[in-house]
Amino acid sequence: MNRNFTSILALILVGLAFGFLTGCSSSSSTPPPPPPPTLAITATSGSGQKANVGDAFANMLVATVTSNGTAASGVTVTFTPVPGPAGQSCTPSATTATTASDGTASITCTANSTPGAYSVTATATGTTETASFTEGNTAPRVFVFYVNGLENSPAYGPGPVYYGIAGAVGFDSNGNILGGEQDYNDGSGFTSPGEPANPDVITAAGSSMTVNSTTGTGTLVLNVSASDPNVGVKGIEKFAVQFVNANHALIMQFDGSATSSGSFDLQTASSSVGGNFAFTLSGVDLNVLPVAYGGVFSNASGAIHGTYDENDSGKVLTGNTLSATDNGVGADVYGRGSITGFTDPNNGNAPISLVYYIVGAEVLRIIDVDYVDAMAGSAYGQGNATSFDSTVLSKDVFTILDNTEDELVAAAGQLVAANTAVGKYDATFTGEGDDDEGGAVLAAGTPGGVAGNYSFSNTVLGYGSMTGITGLGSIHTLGLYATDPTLNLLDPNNTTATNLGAALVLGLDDFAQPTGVVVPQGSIASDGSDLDRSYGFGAQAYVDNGSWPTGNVGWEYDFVGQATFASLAFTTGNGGPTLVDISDPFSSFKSQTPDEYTAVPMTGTAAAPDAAGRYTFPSATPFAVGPVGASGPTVDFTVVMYEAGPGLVFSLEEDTFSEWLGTFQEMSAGPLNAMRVKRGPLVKSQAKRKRYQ
Amino acid sequence: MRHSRRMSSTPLIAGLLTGLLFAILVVPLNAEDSDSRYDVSKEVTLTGTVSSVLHKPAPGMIWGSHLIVETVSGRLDASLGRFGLEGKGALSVTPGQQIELTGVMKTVRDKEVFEVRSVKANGQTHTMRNEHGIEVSPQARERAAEKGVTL
Repeated sequence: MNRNFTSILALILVGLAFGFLTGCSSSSSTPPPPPPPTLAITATSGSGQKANVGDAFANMLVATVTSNGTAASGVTVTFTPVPGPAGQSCTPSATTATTASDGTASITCTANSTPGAYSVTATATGTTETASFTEGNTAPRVFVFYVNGLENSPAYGPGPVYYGIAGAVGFDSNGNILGGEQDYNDGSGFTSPGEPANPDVITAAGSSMTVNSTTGTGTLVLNVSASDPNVGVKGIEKFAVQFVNANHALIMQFDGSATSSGSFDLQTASSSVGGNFAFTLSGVDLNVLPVAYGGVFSNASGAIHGTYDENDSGKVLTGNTLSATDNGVGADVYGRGSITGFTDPNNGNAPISLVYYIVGAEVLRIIDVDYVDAMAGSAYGQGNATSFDSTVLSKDVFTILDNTEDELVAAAGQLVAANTAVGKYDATFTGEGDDDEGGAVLAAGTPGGVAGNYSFSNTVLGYGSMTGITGLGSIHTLGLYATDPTLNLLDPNNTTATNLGAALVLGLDDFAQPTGVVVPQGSIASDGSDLDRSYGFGAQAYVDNGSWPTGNVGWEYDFVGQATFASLAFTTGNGGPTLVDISDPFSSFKSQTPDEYTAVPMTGTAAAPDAAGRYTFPSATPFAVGPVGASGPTVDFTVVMYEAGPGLVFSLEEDTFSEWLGTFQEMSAGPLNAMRVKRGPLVKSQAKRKRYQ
Repeated sequence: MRHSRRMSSTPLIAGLLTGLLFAILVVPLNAEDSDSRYDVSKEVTLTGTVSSVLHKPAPGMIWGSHLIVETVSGRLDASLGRFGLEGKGALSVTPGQQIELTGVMKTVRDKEVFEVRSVKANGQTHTMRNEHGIEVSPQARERAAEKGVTL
């Protein structure tokens, strides 16, 4: 044991001696080099700016370089714009800059000629780190558009398929198209391929708009072929436009690939939107069956809460809780934002991805961008209202049109509220209406023939319904969603009109999924002299006599044009050439001849209105359309009109083989060439039409 | 319901009368109701022989394609809607073929029409409309087939 202890002690001493010696040796050698300083670069300021094309950004793009956390001076920083998909970028004042004593390096950047979002990266010599600035080039003027209708589907034909488009087009001050973006959805294979994040890119090349400054009639061509060659004619979409004033046009697709109707409006805001809204959406659900929604919601910093109704192919669910998120516009320069969290209560609350384009602070065009379902519609603000009671309605005109996939019902009329009072949320109405359900006219303007009740919630702002409706065919229940009484639902930028507000409606019966509007009605001149003015007009029509593709039983055609009334006589063309375009891809007018007709005459002389503001065209002076094309037919239609006021008249066609719902919107006396345009270079595919057999 | 067939033999007359009685008692017809609503509670199933196939409506008919079907109670205008004979998965029948129809009899523009919800032919059931009378498109048929569900 002693021997063991002595051995261990010796080992310890040897070890200590070795450690001492090696330690002395170590302290006498060259110290290792210090670790290299850690350089870092950050985008300090100047990110998130937007500037009109051709303009320098207001603030410099500033990058800061640090070395081990301390400002690093004398470091070379390289700034590199990374163009977006349409070529949008900026030209830096210098590609490199040297950091100052505070570690910052700065440049200015000037937006190039293409609108859109992109990034500028900054890198510093001596580090692989990258700082990124997100910038956006904006167009001086942006118009937002949306349409819905029927496309000629190659995937499911022969036969048309519901589709909708929402988008925005940027113009320079001369009316040249600088670019744009759109979301196209049919839920049946032609949905924009980059959804939900990336819309179709509208390129300046191949896009154009021409408008007659006197008549407001024109053509819009959008080239999305680079990002979505399936839509339109090989990615070239053509629309007929009819400007009513410099900020608003009626629009329809006009290239044979599809037909639809919608609105084209100047954008007056493009960033975030908040407040209270009413909305309707219409399209097809995930089972490709017709569906429509309506409701109200509040948007507080992106948190959406509300109440909504759904009519999914006759399965009606009302009072659903809406809880969703507005993800905002972000870097998008066209006012395109997204909403997540919207769901389909009739299908297990399946999520529906929505995209919107801001028209203004109180108007959004909304489109569903899922690949399995498709819808389009609008949301309208409720202004500063804190309550909507029975006084929302007084004497109003209403219109209702079915979902284009369903195509069963079109209706219009007048309603007069009774028993209304401030603070009272329910009331009754009587009125007069016309209702065409698949060619069966179930109501034809019987004075006092319409009646019903309506009410608004006293807890959910502007959420209401019309119930017990009689005298309007199969329409017995409507959802009713109040809007800002100062907002023009047809022409959002025109607030000088007299027919502002009042509500959106959604059919809640199980036979169809119509949506529509209720707008106040002013006083009506009994002799019809109210109509002695010029109108831009259009309509969306459903027919049973289409003949394309072969065997087709009839679908949709649309028209837009310009006309005048004089002593109740209606003529197109303002004394000049006839100016009505008819989009007829399903051969409603000429057998087996799908076509896009221009300069189609329309004439007729109406009888003086009744007390409800309802006009008819007597059989001796019918509403005649034609000749439609060379040697084409002239068709006499049974048309009635309901006047909301001199500036806004609704038309309803009610024949056994067709029905349409349209508007006459008073044209501005001023020039309509806000979008005076030079035609962009055409691309080869613009000359070709898509046909599917 | 309009009866235009002429019968020449007593058994046929008896059959016709039986059919008429059947129609009166079993098919409520809803003749006074011109509402577009499809009342599934009034749904009935009929069998008959296709006499003609109309891809487009004849004058006076409601929109969409139609079958003219001879039933024990007479000739029937069977509305298939606009998608019934169109696109992928469409019904294909020929005159002389025996079929079974499920739907609701309605009166539209003073004419009786049998709004067909489904047609059974060639051992297969083809859905024309859902339980609310909403017409089923080719895309909807295909989507349902993909999901393995019945419309």
